[in-house]
Amino acid sequence: MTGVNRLDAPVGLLIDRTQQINFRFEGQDYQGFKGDSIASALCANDRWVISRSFKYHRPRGVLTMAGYDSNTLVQLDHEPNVHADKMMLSEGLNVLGQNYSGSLDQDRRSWLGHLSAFLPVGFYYKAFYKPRGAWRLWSSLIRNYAGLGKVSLATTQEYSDKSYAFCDVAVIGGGCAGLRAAIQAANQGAEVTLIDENTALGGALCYARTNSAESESKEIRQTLLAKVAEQENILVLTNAVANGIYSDNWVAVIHGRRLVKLRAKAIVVATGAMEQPAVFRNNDLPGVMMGSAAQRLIRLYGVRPGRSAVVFTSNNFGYGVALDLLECGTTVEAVVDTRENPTNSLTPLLKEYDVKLVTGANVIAGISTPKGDHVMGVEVVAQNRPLTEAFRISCDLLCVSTGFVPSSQLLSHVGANVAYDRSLATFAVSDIPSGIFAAGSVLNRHNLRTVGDDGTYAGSAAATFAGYKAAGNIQPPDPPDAAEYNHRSPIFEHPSGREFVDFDEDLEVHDLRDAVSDGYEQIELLKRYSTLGMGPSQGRHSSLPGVLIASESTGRDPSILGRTTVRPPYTGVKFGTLAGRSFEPVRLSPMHYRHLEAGAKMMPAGLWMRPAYYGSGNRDSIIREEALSVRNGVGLIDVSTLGGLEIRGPDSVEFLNRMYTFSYAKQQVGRSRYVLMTDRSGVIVDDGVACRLSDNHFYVTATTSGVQGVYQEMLWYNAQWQLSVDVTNVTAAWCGVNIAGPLSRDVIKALTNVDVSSSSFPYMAVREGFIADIPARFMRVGFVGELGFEIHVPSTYGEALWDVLMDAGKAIGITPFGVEAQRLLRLEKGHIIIGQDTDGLTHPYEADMAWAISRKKPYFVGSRSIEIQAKRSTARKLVGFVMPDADKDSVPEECQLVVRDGDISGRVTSAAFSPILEKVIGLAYVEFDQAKVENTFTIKFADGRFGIAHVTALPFFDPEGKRQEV
Amino acid sequence: MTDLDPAMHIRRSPIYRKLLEIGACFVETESGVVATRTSETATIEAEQARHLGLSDLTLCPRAGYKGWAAIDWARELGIIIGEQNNRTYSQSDSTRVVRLSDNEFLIPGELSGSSPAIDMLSSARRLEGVYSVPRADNNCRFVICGNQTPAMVAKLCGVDLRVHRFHEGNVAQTSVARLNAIIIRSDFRDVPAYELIADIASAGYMWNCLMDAMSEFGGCIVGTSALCVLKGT
Repeated sequence: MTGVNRLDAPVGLLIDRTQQINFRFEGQDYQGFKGDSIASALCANDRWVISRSFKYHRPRGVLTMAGYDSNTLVQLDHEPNVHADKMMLSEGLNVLGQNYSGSLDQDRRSWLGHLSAFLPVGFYYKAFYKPRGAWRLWSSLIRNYAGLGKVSLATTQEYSDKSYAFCDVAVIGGGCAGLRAAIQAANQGAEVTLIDENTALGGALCYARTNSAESESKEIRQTLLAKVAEQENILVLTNAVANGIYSDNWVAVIHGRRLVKLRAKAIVVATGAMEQPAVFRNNDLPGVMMGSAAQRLIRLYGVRPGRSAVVFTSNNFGYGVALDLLECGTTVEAVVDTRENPTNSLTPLLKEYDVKLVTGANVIAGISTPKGDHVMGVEVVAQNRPLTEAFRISCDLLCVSTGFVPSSQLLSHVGANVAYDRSLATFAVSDIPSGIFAAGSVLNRHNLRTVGDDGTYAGSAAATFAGYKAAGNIQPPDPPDAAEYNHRSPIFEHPSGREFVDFDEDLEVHDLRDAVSDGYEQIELLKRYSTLGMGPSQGRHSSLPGVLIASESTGRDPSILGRTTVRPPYTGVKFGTLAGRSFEPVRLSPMHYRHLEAGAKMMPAGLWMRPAYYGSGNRDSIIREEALSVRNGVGLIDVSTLGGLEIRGPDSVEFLNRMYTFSYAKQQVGRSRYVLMTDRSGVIVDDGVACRLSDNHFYVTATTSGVQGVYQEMLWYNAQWQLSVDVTNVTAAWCGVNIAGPLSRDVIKALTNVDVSSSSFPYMAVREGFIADIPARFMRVGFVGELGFEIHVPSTYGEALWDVLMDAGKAIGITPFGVEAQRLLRLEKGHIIIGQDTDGLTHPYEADMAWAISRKKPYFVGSRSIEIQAKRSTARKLVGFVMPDADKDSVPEECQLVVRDGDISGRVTSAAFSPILEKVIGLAYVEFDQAKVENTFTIKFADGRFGIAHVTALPFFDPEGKRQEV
Repeated sequence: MTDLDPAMHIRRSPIYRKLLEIGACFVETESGVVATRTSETATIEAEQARHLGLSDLTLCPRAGYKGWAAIDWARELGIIIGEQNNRTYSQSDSTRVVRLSDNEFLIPGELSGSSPAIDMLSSARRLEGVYSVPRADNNCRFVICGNQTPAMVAKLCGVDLRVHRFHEGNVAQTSVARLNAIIIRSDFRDVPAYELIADIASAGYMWNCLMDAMSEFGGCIVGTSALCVLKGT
């Protein structure tokens, strides 16, 4: 059984009666049909209280059945704030109400409503701020009471992604106007994407009644859907929310868990209009709903919205609602029409049902059941009569049809003007930008024929704008007719209050009046002070009455008061949807998997992954062992991540001379030379080596994280200087290893056609040749201070190179070593790492790198700044230090402070326990007068201890460089 | 099905492990070891590829040249290069040359591993203002083919790559899954195909992104034999 209120077919467009769905609400089992929303299934089961209000914890039920209001926000296991009137049922769904303590039906916090006198508008700003410190106490209490739903930290991440889409004409809204626009644009040849937030196309045609036989809207819908289906150039996206329109007709469409980034040449906004609640006492009771909500329940879900109803209306739509109710078996106790003399073709039909017609009257209050959980009647009073003459009509359903506001949010996003129009008694859109078109009820046209004509007109204009041939004989539609449908001010104050203007925030009429009295007359200030329109509904139902109340309170014309700014998004959007599938590029060396197979612990280096060290166990011990292997035998490290740049052309030397601090004019072919790059302010930004492969060809290395910046700088300067030189970034094209240690030569000499003897291939020489049939560039370098060869090969040969070397070195114990051991080894040699031992202000003199500056050449980037710095006194200096009293367990960390007389005088940049020297060594910035060798300075450890460091000449190890130059 | 171990060869694609995992069969070509099949028959794969297929062509030959004299130099050597950038130009031997800019072109070589045009240019005397670009090692090269390709690539790339907008021979230098990439429309007769050339160091990342995007459409990895079937070669 899916509920006592379930109606027989044919009503129930969206439900599949052959598929029953079981779900739980508030711990109780219910059944619905496939296609039901949570709310429709609950209503079918006569369950009307779905959630509680935010401030006063008032029971709330369906209001719009369109997902536009906060009345039906419910909690799912892994998701709060779900619109129960939009979320489709799924098997086993577990649903709870929100904003209650205890149970939804017996909320322990419902007493808050009795405190409303103490919670006036703006009470946040009036209370809690004194005495000083009081807010801290209040805030925990308020936070405990406030908030919507609960976020489950156990929620698994949903898969969301994004896609790009393109079309000539995007039509947003699949109602009568949207369908007609899409068909017309497609007829003119445009590629059309038709977007609708609902499951079924048709908009109000799916549920509204436009004639006595109820057949007109159905037939029109079927005809239009058939035409859409015939058009191959219309792509239909249903259950898709156009959540914002941005620059250049970029439409953000949320389609399931996907954010579709749609680019359209032209856009037709046919988003319709939103029916508005009337403001009267207890207008928020469950059982009080929009007329359109009742029709949605009947036609879309086959649910009877009540047993005995009153229809409160200001237009002829209300009569259609009454007829629909009658036909589904609901007794209509009365139609209360605010108009004195309504003319309506449906009136005779209602009279056939003996429906009481009360004209020229207003509903001034809903009467609640003793429990306060449902409407049980209404108070009605004739206009211009005192409230004491009000009379009651019993009912369990009150349908309100007193007017509309355009769903103009998307048009606001693109800068259209939306302001109150006195002649239409609602907001009206004007000044729509070029390339954006609108049609139908969003332009305050409600007559079905006019709406359709407007759609065709807009579709044609959009297709023409998109470059397709204009269609002839399409006439502009009739002017807006909303005045026939909108009550001029459906606000009926009651001496006992509780006339809610904003259901999200439980704002009553007097709250807005009080806010105006407090001086917040400007509509944006009124919004922020009162929180009008700041809840989940974003003013969909409160904006119009808010403006009308403010207008009446201030005496200003509502069209002058304006309207609060409407910004994207149109509806709530999940962070996961915005984030989409994360794209985080990762760069891997060709030898990456060999490192993993060898047990490497990988670490990020920019976008790259590099082996920090190999194996498990004590990290520091492993690193020291790796370093000792290099010092005493042979080690192999992957240096593929180093940047590589080919500098080619007749002006290569001149180019390098300008880009780097050294001089390269006399660098011989087959030799490498250190390169140090500074920026225009003289700050060190990168280093590496330049290998001269021919007169006009240098292969320049750069740091892993710096190469992209170096490359871009080179391109920029090359464009300025117009030298005959080409710069190519070949970082990924070449991979490399550094085979280092006294036995390194023994490993490679049998593998290569290059003579690697000391005499033929000296320190800092460069050779090209082959190693194990792999084309290679060989460099004698000394970063780790041992005999060593950097071997660079094309990347697709990288893994084979690693295999060949590891295999050849196996017999003599070749050891792979990681970045951490390399850092230790270079520290022993006193070599700096750019970015670790330098910072964003370090110039060469501070880093003791004056030796790398050529003073003979006229210019290099940063030369003028360095020249100035050289003439100034240097405030700090990078020095080497040892800590004689420290052991391997008391090594300072990077960035720990150098302290002098209680003040900071510098910081440590690198430090380690050297296994070969058996002492703690490091680099630190100290004040210039502390930098003299054998001076001491104090380092403060993280735990507050202090250690004494002695300034030491660099390098710490093998100062004569004999080991690397053998 | 594997009968040739790509790890036994000195030139290896960064994707070879992923291809081994699915049991791909490899063959040796002039330019390296490539996955020729991922299932029992190339015909079956070709049928799948008509829907959506992904293939690794990283070890197929490629060459690139740039510099102010590069285009004229190539023309003088008989290479046909038109005036429009971001276009491919077919040569008499079915090789395609991709003009990337006023000063740069790229030659994606054949599936067979041989490419006379590449060989000819690499052995020709280089003039001042002509510089080689190591495309074969700087970039990975994948091909995505089949009717679902535009929809699939739309999840990764912001360029309109639909078949009626991005025609055969069109080239886009763009971003795919946040990586710089060159996309070349290069159909296999009636089957739309898009070559993707990107950073070789990020090949694994890109492959995973493509696989992830493909899964929604039931795409599969195919070998070069299936592509030859589609090409009719």
